[in-house]
Amino acid sequence: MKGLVIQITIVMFLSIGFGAGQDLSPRKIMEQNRRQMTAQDEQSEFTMKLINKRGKERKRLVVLYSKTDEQDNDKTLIRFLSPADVKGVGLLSVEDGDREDQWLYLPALKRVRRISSSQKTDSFMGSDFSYEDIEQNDLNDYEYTLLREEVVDGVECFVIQSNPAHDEVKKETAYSKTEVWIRKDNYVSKKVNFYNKKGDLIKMMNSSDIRPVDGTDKWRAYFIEMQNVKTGHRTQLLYEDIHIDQGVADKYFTQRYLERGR
Amino acid sequence: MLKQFAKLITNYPKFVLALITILTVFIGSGITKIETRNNYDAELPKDDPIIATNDRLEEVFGEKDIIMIGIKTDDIFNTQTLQKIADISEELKQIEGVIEDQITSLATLNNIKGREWGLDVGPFMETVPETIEEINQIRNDVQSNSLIYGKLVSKDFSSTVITAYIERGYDQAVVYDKVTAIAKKYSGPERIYTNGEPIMQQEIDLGIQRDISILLPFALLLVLIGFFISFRSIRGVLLPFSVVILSIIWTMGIMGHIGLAVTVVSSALPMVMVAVASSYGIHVLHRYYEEIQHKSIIEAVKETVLKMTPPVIMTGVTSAAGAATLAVFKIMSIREFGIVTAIGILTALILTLTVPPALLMLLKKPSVKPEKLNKHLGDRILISFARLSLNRPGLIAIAALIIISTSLVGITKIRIGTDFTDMFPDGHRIKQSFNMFNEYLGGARNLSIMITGKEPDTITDPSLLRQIDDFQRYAEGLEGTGYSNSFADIIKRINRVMNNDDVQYETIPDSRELIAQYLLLYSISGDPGDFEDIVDYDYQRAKIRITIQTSEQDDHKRIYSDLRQYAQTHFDPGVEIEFGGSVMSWLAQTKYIAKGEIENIISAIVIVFLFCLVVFRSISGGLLNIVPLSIATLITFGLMGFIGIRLEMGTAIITAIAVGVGVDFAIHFISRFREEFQKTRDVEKATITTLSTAGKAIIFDMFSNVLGFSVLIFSGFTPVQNFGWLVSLTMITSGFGSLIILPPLFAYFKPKFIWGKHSEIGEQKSGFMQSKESHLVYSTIENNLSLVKQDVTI
Repeated sequence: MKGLVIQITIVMFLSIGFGAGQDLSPRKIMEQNRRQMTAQDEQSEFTMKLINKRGKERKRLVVLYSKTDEQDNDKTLIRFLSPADVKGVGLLSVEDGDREDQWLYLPALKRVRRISSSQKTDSFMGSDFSYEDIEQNDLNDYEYTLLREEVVDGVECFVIQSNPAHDEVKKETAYSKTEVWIRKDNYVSKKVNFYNKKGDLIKMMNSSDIRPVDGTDKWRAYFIEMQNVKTGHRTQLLYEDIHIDQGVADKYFTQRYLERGR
Repeated sequence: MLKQFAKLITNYPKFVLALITILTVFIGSGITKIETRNNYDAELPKDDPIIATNDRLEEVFGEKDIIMIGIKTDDIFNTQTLQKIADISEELKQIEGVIEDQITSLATLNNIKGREWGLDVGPFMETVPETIEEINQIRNDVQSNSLIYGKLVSKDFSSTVITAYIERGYDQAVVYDKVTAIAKKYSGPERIYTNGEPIMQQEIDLGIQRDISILLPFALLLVLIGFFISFRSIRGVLLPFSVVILSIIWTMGIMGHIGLAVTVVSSALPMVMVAVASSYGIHVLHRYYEEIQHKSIIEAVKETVLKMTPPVIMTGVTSAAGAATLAVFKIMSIREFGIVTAIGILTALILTLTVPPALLMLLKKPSVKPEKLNKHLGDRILISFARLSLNRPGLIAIAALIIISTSLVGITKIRIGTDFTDMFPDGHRIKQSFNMFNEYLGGARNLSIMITGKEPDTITDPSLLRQIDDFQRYAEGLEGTGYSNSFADIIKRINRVMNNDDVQYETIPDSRELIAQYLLLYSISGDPGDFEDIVDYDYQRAKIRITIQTSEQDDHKRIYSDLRQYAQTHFDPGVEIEFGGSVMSWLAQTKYIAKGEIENIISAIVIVFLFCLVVFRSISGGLLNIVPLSIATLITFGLMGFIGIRLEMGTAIITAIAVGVGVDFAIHFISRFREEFQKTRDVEKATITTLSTAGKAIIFDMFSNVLGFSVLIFSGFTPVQNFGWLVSLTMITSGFGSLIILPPLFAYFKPKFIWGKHSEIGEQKSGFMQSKESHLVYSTIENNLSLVKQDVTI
């Protein structure tokens, strides 16, 4: 009898202790993650490696500038640095409220052309990432559930499932749900599993080489791999250089800069 | 040896039967391992250049097969049909193994369009259009897009195709069922046609299954009726029938154990086994009935075994040797069929000599005697044959010469090789599908041409792209081709769109950088799988796909040779051009069939010659034996030439089977003639007697074989049908040929092995009767004759 009481006490104590460390709701965890990932502006240089099922690779070196203005509009400029024959190709996209404009510059044509904007489910630059995988979506569009806690590569993570919260999102997204592993120490997402509308696992994203970016308190993954489970195709992003909130000039996001490079 | 064997059966029938039962269970277990093979690449030797090219194509562009769904209606541009295109494209993704990002249809394809405001890059049909304006928009988009118009969508807008690639290793039956279910679900008013490797291969397998499940029972029923007419008793039906059934079980079991797959060619095997095994069983039982009339069971069985073993072995070995000559072919199906038929005949031989005698030991003495029919049936006709052939040798010679020379003319007209589509009879659903694709969608089959540049990145070289483009235009201009596509088309398309959609710019630009940048533009606006099928990751190899609108193989040959010649003279040196694809695999078979057939005819005739040389101890005996068979073979091939039946897998096996079975006719005839001649030394009398005895037996044996083989005429495959009736024809001509041609030849040449040396000792000295051994062979022939004679009573 006495033993039982002690046991109950221990259990209660443990659960209180557990609860105390767990005052974060899944939504709160996602907010922390969002806080970690967002920045006023960002400049990064990375190699995008496309690897097909047979292990053949295509490599592109890219520099990406992005900035969020006062009206919360995102602007992005992507410029190709290599291979040599596509050096200088640029893609500019500017958000203006609900509308998004995109321009393309091909140096060999010496001309800027307006180009239709991309859908959420479209592939990002022909890679295994789609736009919705790399965009910061509205937290209100999804419902979050904490599935469990797990140690991945020696780091403790929350495993959070997110489901579309309403029909509009359901229609736009390609996924029925995603599972995100978020590191407990810095809220960077370590791994994401994507499930299609049928409920099958279709893509897996893995991040590593996660470290703080010089001069900031933000952490970033310097290596990200997205694998399509169905096609066996993979895309790797290898970051050489990341600068956060170093003040990217507005002129980068103009057609003039897209064309002239200055 | 023979006596010990007979003793074994008469003394230990239960042991023999138990042994056979155990062996049947063991060997029969192989049936569960039997697989079907329908992959045409596997037919050719691994070192064939076309097979090597196909292997390389797969290495670079993936090991995958295509599934095609064709939609035909009045005008596909309406919401309902477009919705179906979107739905089918989506449903195809659900099939296990389908590569999701390599589905091509109006619903999935990326389109780059020039709009007033700029460049519109994205799926052709973001959502299914509903208003007239939207529908007209997409119609205009299609019409102005040379990558699609006349290719993915027919020029009259009545048809469109959805293609999907599926990784090798899929379950073909499942894929077939799913694709067929999709087609059925969306049919009406649109007509939906399915095509592609999984569909074609499954149609072959379904055909094989159908053939075996319909033709085999049919053939078995026929022999059951034959047995009943012949013996009018239960055991008379069941004993030979058990031989037939056990032979099939053993043969198929052995196939399974040694890992030989069932192919279209070997699907005929059970029916061939029925024809062969049934005649052996009849012979043994007839002998038993003859013996039992004045002997005890043991004596009768012993006598049957002693008397029947040599002739059954002899006819069996000749037939098996004939079939085994098919091993000279380099085409796997044919070679395997030869081997397995030889094994099957030997199996039937073993079973015939063990099972019925052992069972007869355990059964009571029969009370019913087999009924005999009128022995004089047809005698008069045969005698008038004999008169004709002896009295008018000139006429026979002239007729033979005319037939031979006409046949030779026919042979020059023989076309060799066959296309996949010729495997199926007209009206078959897969043929209808081919016809629809050929007529509206540029064809369902294609040539894949791999262009390999000297080093990586050469594919973006403007001059190479222009050569590719010129090559495609040349190919499209040839009679019988549909359309072509390659990486060059995409570059031309983007160039036009980037230059205000001006048709003038639908060309390959001069700048290598611009091409690379177009390529980047296209790839960053599509999916990772978009380029997988037309250019490799290093930009060193490109694939040109040329669709073929004709199922006529002669056209395929012409197209290939024109293209190859053009490619040799129009591409830069150092650029490698290789031809592959399924059309090429079928084309490659041609040379192996032609070469194999010549080798096969020679080897079959040489084997027959050697065999007769041994039996008759005479070169002229061997040569005379070959005559009727050679003429029969000539007639068959001459006829094929005149009526346009091709020499292909099915018809290539005729000679070996017909010669192996048909050689017995000539042997019977010659030995009986010799016997009669040596009695009377009168050609006419000997001929008449021979014809009315052995001649009649030959005719009955011939017809019982023909009956068995003619079941194949109801096969679901054209080559098997052709084999069925042509092998029957060859047997008839070689049978009658023996009866008509041989007597005048005897009279003219007076061969020594028949006439003997005109010495006092006469027959004593005739080499043939000298040795014990040859006496055995001779009596073997006699027995064989007598056993064949028994058939006359049928």
